[in-house]
Amino acid sequence: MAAMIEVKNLTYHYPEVAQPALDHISLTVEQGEWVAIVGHNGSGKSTLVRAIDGLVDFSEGEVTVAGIKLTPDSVWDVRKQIGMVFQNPDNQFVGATVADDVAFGLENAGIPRDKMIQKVDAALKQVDMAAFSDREPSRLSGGQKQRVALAGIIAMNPSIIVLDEATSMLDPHGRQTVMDVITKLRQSEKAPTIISITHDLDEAARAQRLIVVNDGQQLATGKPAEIFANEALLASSGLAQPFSTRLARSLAQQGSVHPDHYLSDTEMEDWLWQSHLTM
Amino acid sequence: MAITFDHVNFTYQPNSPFAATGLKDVNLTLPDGSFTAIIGHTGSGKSTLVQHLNGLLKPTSGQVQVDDFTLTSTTSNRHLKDLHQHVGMVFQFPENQLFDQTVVKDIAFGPLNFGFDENTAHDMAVQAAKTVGLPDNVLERSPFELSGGQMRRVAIAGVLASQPRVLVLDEPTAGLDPLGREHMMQMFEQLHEEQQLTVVLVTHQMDDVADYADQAVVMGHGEVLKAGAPQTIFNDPQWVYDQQLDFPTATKFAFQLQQKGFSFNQLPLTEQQLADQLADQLPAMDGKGR
Ligand SMILES: Nc1ncnc2c1ncn2[C@@H]1O[C@H](COP(=O)(O)OP(=O)(O)OP(=O)(O)O)[C@@H](O)[C@H]1O
Ligand SMILES: Nc1ncnc2c1ncn2[C@@H]1O[C@H](COP(=O)(O)OP(=O)(O)OP(=O)(O)O)[C@@H](O)[C@H]1O
Ligand SMILES: [Mg+2]
Ligand SMILES: [Mg+2]
Repeated sequence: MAAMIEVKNLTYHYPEVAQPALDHISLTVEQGEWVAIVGHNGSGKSTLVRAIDGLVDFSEGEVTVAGIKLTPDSVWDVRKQIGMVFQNPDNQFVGATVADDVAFGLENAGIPRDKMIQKVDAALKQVDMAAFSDREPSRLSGGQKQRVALAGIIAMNPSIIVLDEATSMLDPHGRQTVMDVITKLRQSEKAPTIISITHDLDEAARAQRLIVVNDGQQLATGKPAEIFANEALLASSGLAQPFSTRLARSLAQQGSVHPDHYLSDTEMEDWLWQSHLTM
Repeated sequence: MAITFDHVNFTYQPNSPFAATGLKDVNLTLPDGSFTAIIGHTGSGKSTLVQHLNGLLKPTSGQVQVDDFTLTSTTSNRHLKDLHQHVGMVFQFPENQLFDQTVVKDIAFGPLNFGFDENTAHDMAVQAAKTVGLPDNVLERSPFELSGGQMRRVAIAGVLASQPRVLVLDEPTAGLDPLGREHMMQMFEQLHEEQQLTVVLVTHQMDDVADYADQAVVMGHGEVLKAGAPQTIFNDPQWVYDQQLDFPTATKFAFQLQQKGFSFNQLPLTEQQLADQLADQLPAMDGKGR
């Protein structure tokens, strides 16, 4: 596998803020990989992905995207590779209508008009927003805004997708839709590289790998199950205990048998059933 | 006193080609000191509904009563200052409620505006910032130059510092890290319990509905589809799926266990309820049966 994103020793200070937002952080994301970034509020997650997209003027370190080293000259080539949904969708909208907005990236990429209209329609349908194509993006509900922002990325089909808390205000059905879209994209020929920042641990658990960011550094990385098994790490990085861990503890308090190490939800179900059978 | 909606309709951009229905004939009662969760699909009218509670929106027709305050289409904004003190609202997007030059000034705005002197308001702001877990080094910074979760915390602190009697929370934990989410919900619960605040929480987190609410209102296309205790709402699985809602984590877990052969007298909604019922169906730790 080839590295799609390489961040080396990256440091960034926001103007007039003493503490660095990124502090000599290094990490690699492989081509076609799905990585979830987690960590407490203010740990540097959004700054990190903005830096990868060339939106942050970092002082030290190096970013390479799809083999292109990020410099003021290459920034547009880098951005062409990346489709990003920002944490607040209001910061993202450029079109006067929902359809214009979703079309914006395609138009810039020089896609012919009839093809563009097709792609916009298809993308809006995927997120259940086809009925809103003539509406003003600013006059939508929170979840509708997030759906439109996602449609813009789906239409573009970039080789790197970055979702910065893109599902934080979606209803449960909408969240599931996004997970289904990601699954489908990953099985497609293009199989994009996906970075999703999320505070939803169920969502994070579906990624191939987690990166835990703390104080502008990569505190840990590993398979979701490895990270969730590490209680000390969870506590120190603003993460809560997974449901199965909490259930095991409550069972212990009841004086009942309980697993003594982390199990995923399905493993926990099997474990409980096996224990029940021994009664 | 209580909060009531009496035949409330709301239309966005009325009398224009863009007119859009926000609320349709909403009738509701939220008892004094209750904790109500408002749930429902994207665009179902939750934010529109709760923005009527502090007069940010006024009914196109019908009447909203919030304790001593009455809101109709003709209520003038002059009458709303007392209502703003009475009802504290955390907006869905924190950016939309931040405005001042520094974090501490932003949080102190409420107390200052509602009659506290500068020093007291400042102290209240610093205290509120601590309560919501903001680091000291952000207090003198612009509230717009923060991370998303930090902005959320500033918005919540500003509302708390104003010491409202009714707390309206529109997806208040979106953007908070998991621990922050837990702490914040427990803090709202504590205010509700200790000071009998009436709490109205808009959420997509069914766990919060199960853990904290005594009443849930399900919205759909601008209408109230159902209102009742969480247990009543979740007891009709097919209906819940049809509304694009979900179940609390413990309930979903229980459904899976049911398929394996466990049985539950009452549908567990919380992790504690699940553990209680599971313990009876598992061997004891000392290896003996029960
Ligand atoms: N525009 C800005 N100006 C100054 N400082 C900023 C700005 N944006 C963020 N910061 C600071 O940089 C640090 C990292 O912020 P960042 O937005 O990357 O965090 P995050 O991990 O995305 O947090 P969250 O989970 O709350 O979104 C924080 O301490 C924050 O206060
Ligand atoms: N400013 C506005 N102008 C016109 N229509 C609006 C405006 N704000 C919301 N709407 C519409 O009113 C309906 C209800 O929106 P509302 O924001 O109340 O939904 P919601 O239940 O809060 O959804 P979400 O879970 O996505 O936040 C939606 O169809 C939305 O498109
Ligand atoms: Mg962020
Ligand atoms: Mg809303």
